[in-house]
Amino acid sequence: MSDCSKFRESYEAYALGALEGEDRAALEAHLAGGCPVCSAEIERARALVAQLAYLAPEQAPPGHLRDRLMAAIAPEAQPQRRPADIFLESPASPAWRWFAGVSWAAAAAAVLFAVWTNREVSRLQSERAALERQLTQETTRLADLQRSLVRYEKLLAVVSAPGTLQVRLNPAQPAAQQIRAHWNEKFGLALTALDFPSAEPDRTFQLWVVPKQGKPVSAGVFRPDARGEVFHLVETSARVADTSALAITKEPAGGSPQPTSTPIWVGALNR
Amino acid sequence: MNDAALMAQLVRRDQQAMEQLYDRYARVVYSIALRITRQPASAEEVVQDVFLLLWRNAHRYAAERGALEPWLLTLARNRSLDFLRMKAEKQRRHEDAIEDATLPGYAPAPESIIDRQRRAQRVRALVAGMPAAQRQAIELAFFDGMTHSQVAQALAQPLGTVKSWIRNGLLRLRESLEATGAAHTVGEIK
Repeated sequence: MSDCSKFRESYEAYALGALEGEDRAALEAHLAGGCPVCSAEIERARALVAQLAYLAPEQAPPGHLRDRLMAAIAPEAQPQRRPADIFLESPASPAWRWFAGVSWAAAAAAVLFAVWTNREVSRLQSERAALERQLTQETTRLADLQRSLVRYEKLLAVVSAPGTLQVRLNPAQPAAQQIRAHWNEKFGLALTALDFPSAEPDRTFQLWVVPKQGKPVSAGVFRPDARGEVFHLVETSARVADTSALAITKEPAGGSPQPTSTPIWVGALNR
Repeated sequence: MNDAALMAQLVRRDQQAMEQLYDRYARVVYSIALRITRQPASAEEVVQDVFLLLWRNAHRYAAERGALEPWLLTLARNRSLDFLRMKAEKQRRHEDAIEDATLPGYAPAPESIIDRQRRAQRVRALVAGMPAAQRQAIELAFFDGMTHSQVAQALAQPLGTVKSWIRNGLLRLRESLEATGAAHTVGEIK
């Protein structure tokens, strides 16, 4: 066996598929030689790398997918026989005669067993229900955190990407605060603000991309959260070069196809 | 019923066992497929591929060599990355690739859904706690199938830095999982 220590730092990268070039070739040649130590370490690294799958945001598969899969395997599946089917096949069969002989004793035992276990089953079912409720709550909380993380990552991508344009939106009323938007044609348009005023329940804020020619195009509706924070990130097909300004209006809940009120904030694109 | 018992029933072509395995793992398989392919229709195809492969190759599963979950996760990732690559090549030889697929395997001890959820939570929390660039490096390698050089180029970072980020990140993950007893033993589907 050749010296395995030189491969020690490569196991995880190899399992991940990130190892390349000479390092990869050398390790593969070594593995082809049948080294049990490195093979075991690679398998261990693969099991570790597989856990990264849980970084994917949780999504339930559509219901029809299960039906489609089961339909695909159905022709190859063995028909499932219930225990009772064995006895229903033929009353004269040996199985039937045996069943008849012991059925009363079995039935009595089953009744006793059922009574005895009933309370235990109830207790376990309540415990299970409580655990399932806890699991659902934790899963929901985790999904929320996961969504926040994804949003912040996207915002980071927009803000830090090369070529991102920063737009200052000035308020129509001098007392109100200035808002900043970041726009990168590849990563999207992000609007962030603190201490943002709330909107009436039947109204919403709407962001508009105002082109140099033509009508404003909606870039989505938003409302500040309970702390007055705004985090609005949209993908837009509008191009920076064709845009003269960004604007925010207050619209009926759900938004409008075109602005129905005077913009509260406007930011001209100077480029 | 644990995975090994269900796999034994799968060998006997028991559709109910397949239903149970699907209900247990379809969510995570679909999630990873959707994250990588970014297309629900593509993710659905991957899920179908993965579970059909499981159904058709159940007889090659060796329970004593380990359980199922890491194998399914790895297969879901590889199938999704393959799908992207095949899509780039207009999906030629797609069917052949499914038929010829091999079954590696490595597995954890049997565990409950709650154990699995807890482990998934730990993985997410640990990676979320890493610096953004290190997290991005790991995700680009795992979800986009990038090599060290490709990640370094994508993040405009030195190659050595990217290698260290990825390796140190994975070692921290292993330590964390081992500390909670959630690390895997390694097995095999022959």
